[in-house]
Amino acid sequence: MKNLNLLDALDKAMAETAEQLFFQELSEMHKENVNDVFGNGDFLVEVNIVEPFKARLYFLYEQKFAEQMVTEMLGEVIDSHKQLIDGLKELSNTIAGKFMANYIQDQQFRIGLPNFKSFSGKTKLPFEQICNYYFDETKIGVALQPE
Amino acid sequence: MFKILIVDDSATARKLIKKSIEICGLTDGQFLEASNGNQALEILHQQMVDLVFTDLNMPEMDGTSLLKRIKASPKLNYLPVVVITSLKNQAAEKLLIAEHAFAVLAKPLKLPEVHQVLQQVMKSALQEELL
Repeated sequence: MKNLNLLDALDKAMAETAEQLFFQELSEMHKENVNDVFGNGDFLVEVNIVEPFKARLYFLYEQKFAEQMVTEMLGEVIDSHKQLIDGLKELSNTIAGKFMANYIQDQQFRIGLPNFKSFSGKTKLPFEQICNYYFDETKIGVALQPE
Repeated sequence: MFKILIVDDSATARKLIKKSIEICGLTDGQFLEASNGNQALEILHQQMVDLVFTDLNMPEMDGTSLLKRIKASPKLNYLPVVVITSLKNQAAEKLLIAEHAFAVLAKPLKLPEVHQVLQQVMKSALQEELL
């Protein structure tokens, strides 16, 4: 299998994971200013890429659709914030892993455990623009920041 | 009754794996759960299990270490260990198979792949019984 470039690897990981895990089709991706599209109460998950290069992947989820997304993943209504956090961490971990597997085929890679944070307009992020992946009903923001 | 141990630090992932196995036809299986390799080994030393599904990326003891510990143990090395991971690429799969993983499946799980692995496990369990 041929290795993809970074953006193609991410696009493919987003489309495949969303379709398989919460049954939504990827319609488009736009680069946007993070503070224009995400705000207070939204959720942030960070995943460190440890090998073969060091970087950090940031995932942003809309609060109003996060619960629905995790419910669709599990096929049952979630009834606690703990389940929501665990679901978003698992989703981010899966996308991150798929992204790396698409990008690197011929050597092993390592990623860290996902780290969940609440997001607000005051949350300091090391980037201004984010890739926003739009699905039928929601969007997921993703940024890759080299360390 | 077929006893399956699911090892993953995410409760969401454990639930997804269990559901996939049930959808693939194993509705009367008994499921045990652990959130890391250490917990899994404790369970395996307490009771007989027929099959292990494990994640790789976990705190305390990861899936690769768990696989190595199982295969190094004369008491446990009969166990088929299926690795379910988001870290699957050609290189990782080759390494895990060399460590005697029964199969390596990528997250998110695809039902036909789970079905195929379950059939292979059942088939080899039946062959062992006949020998």
